[in-house]
Amino acid sequence: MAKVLLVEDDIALRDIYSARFMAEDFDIVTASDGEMALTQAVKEKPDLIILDVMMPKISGFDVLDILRATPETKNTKVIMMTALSQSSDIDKGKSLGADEYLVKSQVTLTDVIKKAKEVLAR
Amino acid sequence: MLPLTEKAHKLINIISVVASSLLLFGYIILAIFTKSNIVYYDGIKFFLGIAVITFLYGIIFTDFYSRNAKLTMSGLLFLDSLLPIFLIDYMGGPLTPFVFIFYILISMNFLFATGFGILITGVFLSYLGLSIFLHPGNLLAYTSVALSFLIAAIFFDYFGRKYRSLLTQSHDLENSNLDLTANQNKEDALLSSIADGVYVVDMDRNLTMFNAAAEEMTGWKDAEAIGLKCWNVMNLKNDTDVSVCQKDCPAMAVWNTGENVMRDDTCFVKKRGNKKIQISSSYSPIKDKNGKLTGAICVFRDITAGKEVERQRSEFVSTASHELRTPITAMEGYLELIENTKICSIDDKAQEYAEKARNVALGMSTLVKNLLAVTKIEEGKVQTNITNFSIHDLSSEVVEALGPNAKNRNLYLKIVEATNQKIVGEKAVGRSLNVTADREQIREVLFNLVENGLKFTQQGGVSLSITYDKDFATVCVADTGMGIPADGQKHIFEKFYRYDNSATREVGGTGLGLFITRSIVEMFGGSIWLESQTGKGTRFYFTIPRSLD
Repeated sequence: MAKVLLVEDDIALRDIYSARFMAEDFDIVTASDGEMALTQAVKEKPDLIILDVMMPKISGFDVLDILRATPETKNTKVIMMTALSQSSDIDKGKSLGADEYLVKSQVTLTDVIKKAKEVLAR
Repeated sequence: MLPLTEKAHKLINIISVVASSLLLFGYIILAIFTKSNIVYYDGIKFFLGIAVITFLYGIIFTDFYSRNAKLTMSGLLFLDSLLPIFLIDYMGGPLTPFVFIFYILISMNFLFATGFGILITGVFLSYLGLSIFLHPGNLLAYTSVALSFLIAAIFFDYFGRKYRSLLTQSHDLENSNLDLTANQNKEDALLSSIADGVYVVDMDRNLTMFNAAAEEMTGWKDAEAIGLKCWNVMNLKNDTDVSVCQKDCPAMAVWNTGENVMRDDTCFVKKRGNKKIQISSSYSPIKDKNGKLTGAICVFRDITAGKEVERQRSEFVSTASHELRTPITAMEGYLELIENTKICSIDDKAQEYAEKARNVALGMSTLVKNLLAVTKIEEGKVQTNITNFSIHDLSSEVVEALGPNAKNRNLYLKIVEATNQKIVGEKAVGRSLNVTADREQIREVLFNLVENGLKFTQQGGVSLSITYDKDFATVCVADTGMGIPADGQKHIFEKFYRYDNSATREVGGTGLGLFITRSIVEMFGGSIWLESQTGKGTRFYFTIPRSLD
């Protein structure tokens, strides 16, 4: 059973994603900001991190940068989720080492699950 | 007739009256003091008569001269000219040196009016004739005086006419100058009273005119501003606070293109204050009558308040849309969870309603997304990442992505491959079939058109085809749906326009999709149009410039 760390500052979205992932038999841990995400990533050692970009304290890009620089997490799969659809942001996410970059307005819950499975299977 | 000013007329009139009175009293005083027989002289009766007439004429017509000023003046001069006849006669007649007075009088009469000149010459000649009759012994002398009168008359007539025409010309000139000044004043008054700021620059961009509204808006007085270089006074900046005057001068643009220039992206800082004033302005060339450029005129108005309202409005739309987006996404998410049998168990009816609610939420999120897009388009803030890409590959991706939608509704969705695609034109050879634009934005265009096609089609489906000419790739999205009536076709790309009938009401939509689609296509230098037949289907065409690789 794959463990997924869901980093999302909006409580409703966190709720929804958790429920949906759990329905697909994922093990879910959550974080509501960047700091917490880093702590959880080291402590819980998830297989996949779903990372929101726009968050209080530390942005998703910075979290990703730190994750990739930390030995324990540098190989953890990361899917970035954002409202930003600019190509420059997508490029930034990819260059920082995100495995997948999803624009919230362009994907459904089902798409996210599908992508998560895809990334984990790589 | 001699043209004279009102003042001169009055003066001559008064002098004339005074002169005739003086002559009259002079005679009497002369008579008294010399105790001569002048008062018994026969001619004195006529003299007195004419002097009185002249006096009265002068008095009466002083007030009425304006009705026919020149005639009045000439008449008075003529009457005055009659008086010395008696004086000369008394002093010894036309053969005495006093006769020179006649030459002066003839010249003056001709100076004023030819008619009175001839008349006075006639009178003097008659006087000479009478003298010959009374003193026949001096025939030769009288004849020579008479001849000299005639020659003098012709001579003075000639110069009198010349003088009058000269005066008339200068008078006309003066009048036209007055007219010009009046016109100038009229124009100045017009420009001053206009509520918009107006200034004029010459070809060296020195200010030559600066109206009252411009003074009010800029804080500069026209006396300070005129003569200065316009950029020292106006110092226009654009939205990003970069000076416009040196590199992007609208007046220079006017001179270079010869056409009017309209700007609404500039502002200036008010003198002695930090208030920034946003203006909309129009610049036009000024040419002389030979068509040579002599300067430029700028008319501008303060749009600071309007711009602020616009900014607040778009900020509101943007904030509201962002704020709406999160709860809508949450709503969609929860509804999806309700429908998910792995998570919840609800009955069929609840399932049906949850699905309907989710469709409504989906519509809402589309609306919010479109509103945001429209705001960005209208503000010119769409960020683009222009690359060269294959429009065919992108179309395939869209067809693949929307394939399931079409399948659910038993419609086909396909790309019709063009056979024997031939591109003519010199630039056609050796080039890829790539286009130049923002790939994501064009994906949006294709999505909108294909989704629209599927939405309004009950039977058949949607097909895409791509053709190329030397400059453009043309994409055609054809459906077999209900079609758009002619009256709707005209407005279909307008913001918030929806063709209203029972079918479109059933399908729903925001009226923004095609507006956004058109805006995107035009943003990348393409165009969009449609062909449609009610009941048979619609074909949307749009073009994208081909890349040069």
